[in-house]
Amino acid sequence: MPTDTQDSDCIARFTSGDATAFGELYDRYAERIYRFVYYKVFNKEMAEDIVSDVFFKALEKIGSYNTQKGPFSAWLYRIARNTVIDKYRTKKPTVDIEDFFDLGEHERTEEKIDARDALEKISSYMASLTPVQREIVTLRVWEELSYKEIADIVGGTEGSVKMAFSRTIRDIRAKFGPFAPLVLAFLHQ
Amino acid sequence: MHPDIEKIIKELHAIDPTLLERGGDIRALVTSLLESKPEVAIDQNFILNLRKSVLNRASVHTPKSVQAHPSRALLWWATRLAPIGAVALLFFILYPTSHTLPPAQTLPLNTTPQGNTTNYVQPYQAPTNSTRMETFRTSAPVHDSTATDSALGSPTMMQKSAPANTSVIALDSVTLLQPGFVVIHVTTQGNFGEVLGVSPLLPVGTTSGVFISFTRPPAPGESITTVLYIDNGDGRYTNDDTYSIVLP
Repeated sequence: MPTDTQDSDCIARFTSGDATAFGELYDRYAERIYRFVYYKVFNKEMAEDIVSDVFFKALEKIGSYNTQKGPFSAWLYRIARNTVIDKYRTKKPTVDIEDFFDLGEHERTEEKIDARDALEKISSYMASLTPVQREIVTLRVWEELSYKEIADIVGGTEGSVKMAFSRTIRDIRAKFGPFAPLVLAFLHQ
Repeated sequence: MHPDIEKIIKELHAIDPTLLERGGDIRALVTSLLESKPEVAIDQNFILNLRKSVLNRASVHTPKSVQAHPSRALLWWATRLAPIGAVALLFFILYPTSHTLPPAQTLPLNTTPQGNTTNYVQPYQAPTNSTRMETFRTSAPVHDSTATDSALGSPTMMQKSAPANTSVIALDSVTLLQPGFVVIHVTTQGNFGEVLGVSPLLPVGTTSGVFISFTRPPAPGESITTVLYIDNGDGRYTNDDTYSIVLP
């Protein structure tokens, strides 16, 4: 896992004129940001489009990045998050959405869903969560980020993120009852 | 078993011990979440091509990248130095020069009276038959006639080395609150010495075109100080008159 110091060194070198330093940042985060975006959109072309936007925006705005306000990784994830939201607002300006899940099944007919099977398996499960809950779960369970890193991305404190994660697990169990794992196991088949 | 299951279970237990009262449910739930993680097939061609594009743009965006190319370096410097140059030019145009102006040139200085508490001496364009020596300007407030030397500052600050062959000082205008004189002293070691020239008694208000003829031209390197004196009522400059202000 890249450290804040490594990222800060790259940024310092880039702003001093070493363009290759941004390449190092890209190498560190490209695939992570891709997965983060993909878990929101479940569409390869859209994910690639958004990831491209993310890194060009990061390049453009890196001068405004302030190390005192948080780690570079969180800053980059926030750009990615906002870019996903902007992309969907462009496509569906009347819909207040946080990510793909908010569109609903009938809204997704235009997109080719490559991971339809995977989506269906978790759809009812994850769709029951709020966008922030969904994000915390995916960042912790799928992206394996720490609570501190998640807090830097979604906002709030490490403690509040831990509580939110714990409550989300409790909510899932409450909604699906003791059979929640069985439901998921069934969906996996 | 997924390696992260125990880690997440421990975390949940630390956050909310009651959550794991029915531990089996939670463990199974977390396991399902982990195993539900979608497979993401990342196109490595996309990653590599994007990297090239990003680095191409990065090479243009780096702050010092313009210095790698001469014409870009010039453009970079030009865009940054141009505003500084413009400000400097504006400064030199607007900043009034008070020394070594040609005789026919009017000094640009003007000081505006502020209320009733300020005396002003303004440079004046000397007639062509006079020798221009020096110009003076002040916006210093008039001081009480009982003011001490220290309150007015050290005369040595106002000393100037008089140019040779000077016979007249020309002042644009003098504005006084009380009748007085403009007196030119030779200054020696901070002390007001020989009087080289005295203006006529100047009335209250503004008098334009004040000429002070020197009794003798200052010697080369001799320091002179211009002092404003308030008349003591007899209409003549005497040692009894109280000096008001040392003009710069």
